[in-house]
Amino acid sequence: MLQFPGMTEEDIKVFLAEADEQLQYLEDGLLDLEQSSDDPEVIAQIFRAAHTLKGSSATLGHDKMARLTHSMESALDLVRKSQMSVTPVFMDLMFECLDMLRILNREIATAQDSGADITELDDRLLDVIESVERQAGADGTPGEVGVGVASGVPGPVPSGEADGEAGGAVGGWDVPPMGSRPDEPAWAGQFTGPGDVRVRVRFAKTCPMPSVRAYQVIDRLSALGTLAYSEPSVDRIEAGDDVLDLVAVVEYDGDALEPLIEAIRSVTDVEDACVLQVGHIGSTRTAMQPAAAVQEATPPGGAPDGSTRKATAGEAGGAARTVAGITSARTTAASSSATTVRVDVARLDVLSNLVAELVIDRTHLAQLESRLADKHGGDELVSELNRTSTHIGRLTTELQEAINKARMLPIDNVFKRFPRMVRDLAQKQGKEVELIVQGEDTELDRSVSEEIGDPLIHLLRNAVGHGIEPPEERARAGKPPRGVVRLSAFRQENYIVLQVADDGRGIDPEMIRASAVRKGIIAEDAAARLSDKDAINLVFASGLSTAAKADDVSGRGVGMDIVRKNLEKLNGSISVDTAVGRGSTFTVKLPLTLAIIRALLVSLGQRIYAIPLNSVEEITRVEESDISTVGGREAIRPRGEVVPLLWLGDVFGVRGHDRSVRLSEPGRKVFAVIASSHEGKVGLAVDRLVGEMEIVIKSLGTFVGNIPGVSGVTILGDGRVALIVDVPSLVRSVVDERNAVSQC
Amino acid sequence: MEHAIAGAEMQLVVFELGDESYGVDISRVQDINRMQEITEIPHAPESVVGVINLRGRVIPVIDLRKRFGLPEAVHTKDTRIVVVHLEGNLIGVIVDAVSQVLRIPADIVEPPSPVLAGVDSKYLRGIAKLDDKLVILLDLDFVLSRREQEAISEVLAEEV
Repeated sequence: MLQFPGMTEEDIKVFLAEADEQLQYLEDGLLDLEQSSDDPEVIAQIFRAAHTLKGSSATLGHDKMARLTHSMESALDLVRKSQMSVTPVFMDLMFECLDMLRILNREIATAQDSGADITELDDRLLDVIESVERQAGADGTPGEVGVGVASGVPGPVPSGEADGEAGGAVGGWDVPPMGSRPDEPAWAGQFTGPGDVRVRVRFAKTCPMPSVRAYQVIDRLSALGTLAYSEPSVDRIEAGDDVLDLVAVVEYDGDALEPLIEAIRSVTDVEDACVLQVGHIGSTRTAMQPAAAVQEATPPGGAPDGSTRKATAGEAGGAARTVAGITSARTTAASSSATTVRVDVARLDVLSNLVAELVIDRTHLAQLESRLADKHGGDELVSELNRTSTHIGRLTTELQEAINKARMLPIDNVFKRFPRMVRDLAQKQGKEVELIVQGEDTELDRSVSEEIGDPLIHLLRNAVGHGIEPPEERARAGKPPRGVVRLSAFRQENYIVLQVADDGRGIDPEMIRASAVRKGIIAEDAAARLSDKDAINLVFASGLSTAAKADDVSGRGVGMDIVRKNLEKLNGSISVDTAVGRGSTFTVKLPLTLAIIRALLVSLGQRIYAIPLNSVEEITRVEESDISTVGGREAIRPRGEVVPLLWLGDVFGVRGHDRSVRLSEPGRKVFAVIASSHEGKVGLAVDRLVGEMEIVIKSLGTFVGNIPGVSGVTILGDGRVALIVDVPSLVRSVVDERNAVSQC
Repeated sequence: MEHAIAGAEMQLVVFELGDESYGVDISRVQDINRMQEITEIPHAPESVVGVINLRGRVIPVIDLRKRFGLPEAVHTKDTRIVVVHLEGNLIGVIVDAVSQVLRIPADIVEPPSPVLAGVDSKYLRGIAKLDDKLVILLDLDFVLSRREQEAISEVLAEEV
């Protein structure tokens, strides 16, 4: 169990939110750096991210993260000052550090020590730094100043600082560099004169009067600068609260930190202390708020607001994404923290449920109102009720839309982990791949973004593993050695369309046919009869892998069929478009939200069922004479195509609505809803069509579990619960039956 | 946790099923509803009658008579669906009637006697002896848990 004394749960949340963001900047930056090893902008971004992480982890008291980021920062500083060039070895080291930081971040999130040891990585970083500095001679050693107070035993002295300056960790806390270097340009990590300074002081456990000591620290700091913030607050300290750990932010006008350090050192019973310049925070009262926290610890004199991240197409804007280098941003910090709120999804779910109830009540109200109108005609009260209920109706609709919007997230949340993944995959396979991401600001419901990650990973793995050729092969084919994988997202009506396109070797229908025959998926003559398009669609069949050999990158051919199955579960679809030698494009289409779909409502007597509209092909009326028997199963022939006919009443065991009853009299007709999945079509015989409606999908829950033929339930306008028909599973049941028959 | 502690009090929702009174801890009860339209679920586990809409939430409903192997009864104006918490889910339980909410000293609860009124003692946490009647304290987790369902059907099979 990890503990961070003096840090509230809220502080840790803020830290984690900030750290996630900084880790992402770090990753984005490293990926960019690998492409353009000398872009000062990119180096600055990475440096800042490492620096910010260092500052916040030191404040939090996470020693390992603070130590590692400190060493990273020192190494990056050399790159920044052009004393070291970016080599592949260095990049790998940085990526390893990034991975380690993610592990450490998880330690904080879970409050569990992962047992991860940073010593080895840290040593390698120090080796890098040392070797550069040995070359560079004795000059230019960073003048970093550590705070050594009270009984602090000097920690390991960061390399390059062995020139006698006080440095390193005190009492287990690594102290970030705070040297004052007038000869240096204004940059993160160096003390740059007037600004905000964060101070953290821990008092000895044996300290008899910690609140008095805390007050002394506050008092002495106040004499040197303006106290902007303290935790606990001055009031609580004065009230005599036990303070073993004090965090304070001081607006400090001096040009060196030493006076502050001296001031703290002079107070009795100080066990540890950490003094850190955090830049110009702006409104420090909001400094612990997430949006403002992002801006904390960014260097004065850094790049102008927002430009620090490489501007990519459709970059998600908004306060939360802005890494700001703010010089005097009091108002910016305050306003951005006021316009963004992080909300637990569970709370949004509660709101959605409540609104759904409201919609049902509204419908009920409208019904009551029309019954009253029938009864009392032109009564003044009735028309007033009418006006009110219409207004409530409109408000409810708007409310529902607003809440649905609040659940939307830019798809960037999903996409951001892919650049690194593609890089690693490509490197592992000795391929050169550029990943181009488009439309990352496309918004979609959170429920969808949680589900699309895995299918996309699969498609990207395939694109790199199967699609893109090794550089030599590409050269032979007259292509540039570096392959391009394009990941894009866009909206199409109520769907989100995701595409993974590569300019690789494409899918050869001949190879697919051969492979499918060899694996017994399809008979040879049947394979020969398949159109090229149908043959290519066999990539979605179970057990087919086109890679010459299975490897840990592109799997063993169990992938694509599962991808398709999972997407269909979400009422989505996948298709492929490919040309030999030119590449393949996989297109995934998903409803914008998994919670709401359009459905066709049908009925069996009083019972209503919902059939997802995306699977409905057409609707026909059938009577006894339209039904023939094909292979022992009833079928109809709309447009000449043989479609097996299922009676929904039989499927769901609804007495009085099964086949035997419904067509007992000559000339009677039922409706057949022709519905399809990738495996084929099925006609569903029902009594009546009720209409088309947007429905909110709800699960049957774990207590009932999976019910064959039912994918979920929904609540209708009148409050009744209707079952949602699981079309793919019904089609499958027919296919299975057919297979079973044909094997006899 | 829910076991009787001397001197402690228990608060029970008491409902009727057949000729017996049953009690469940009030903290487990979310809601008591009149009988409403139940949407049947085809091929559902046996005692699951269907699902209802409880203010926007869809919750399964089980018929306790079926679970206990009692004869089916016609639903009356007294019939209630008692909504209880079970392992993070809400489950509706159809009972003949809900009679009262009762506060009893925990020490009047006695361990269950072997077999009582067709309900195997495995279902029971104890029996509260009141002046005028006995209230059987149900072990909801055991009665409703799907994991125990097979065990229950075995018990019922033995009784037949």
